[in-house]
Amino acid sequence: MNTEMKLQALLDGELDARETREIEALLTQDTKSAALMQELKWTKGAMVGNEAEVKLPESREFFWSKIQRGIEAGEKQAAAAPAGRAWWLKLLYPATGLAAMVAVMFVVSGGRTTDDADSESVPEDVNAVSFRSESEKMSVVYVADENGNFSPVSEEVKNAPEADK
Amino acid sequence: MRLKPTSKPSRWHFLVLLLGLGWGLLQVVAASVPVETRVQAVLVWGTDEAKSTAKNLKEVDAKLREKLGKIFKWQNYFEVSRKTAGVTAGKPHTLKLSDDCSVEIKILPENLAEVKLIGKGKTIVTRRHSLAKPDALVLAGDDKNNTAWFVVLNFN
Repeated sequence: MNTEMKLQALLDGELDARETREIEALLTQDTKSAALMQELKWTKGAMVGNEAEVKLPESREFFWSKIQRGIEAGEKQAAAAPAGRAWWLKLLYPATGLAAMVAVMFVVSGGRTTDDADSESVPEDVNAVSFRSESEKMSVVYVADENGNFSPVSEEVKNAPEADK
Repeated sequence: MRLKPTSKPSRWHFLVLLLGLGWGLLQVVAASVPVETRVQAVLVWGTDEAKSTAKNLKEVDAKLREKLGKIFKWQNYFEVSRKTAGVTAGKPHTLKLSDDCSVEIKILPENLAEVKLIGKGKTIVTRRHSLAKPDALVLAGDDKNNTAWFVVLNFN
């Protein structure tokens, strides 16, 4: 802290006892510092009781109402922000309904089966072998009747002479 | 497309809703209308014998002959009879292919067909066949003198 600052501090009563003694000793020896101290004292004396009063250009009630309006405007802006993203929310509702409808119709229609749905059943005296030819696009069930008496093609058809036609 | 951030429902919302309702209505109508499935059944006799022994039978068409020939061992395939019918879902339909052979076809839900091969009044085999794939269904078995019979069913 330089001498000027110490003088100002002394004037404001901010120095401790030791520093006060030192500055007072300085003032008795240094006329320049003593003159500055005197000037500071005059300045302080002139300021005390003569500080200009700052008046608000508006009434207290109006000042606070302005703050209140500012707060309300901020709240309105915050409330308006979700409306900016509400367009997709509004699309979301019919889209969700549509998806639900699709799901219901899929369940009602039962979906579509796959190859796993293929199956066969035969009586006890009949054996069956099934297979699928991917290249020929054929699903084959080959049955073997243990009694061997089933023939859908009659002997007459197999051996009919041309004249019978 | 940029949508305005407005609280009022826009015409896009109504359009989406309208399309959804229209699609749903079509599905309901389509599900309620009975669909007829065309079924063709061909009874075929497969043999290695010379063609002259079955003079009253004609050979199956080249496409079917090629398909059967790639799967089975017989040299010749003769068409014994051919029947075609429209089968309505849920109602069984019987096609008589010969005196001793007929097939009963029933269209089931879930795009399935149930086919019963009936020989001399007895059910020889019951097959559930998926109509989701374009496959023909062939029911076959051994016949006398190292020959075979085939019932070829096509659905569309």
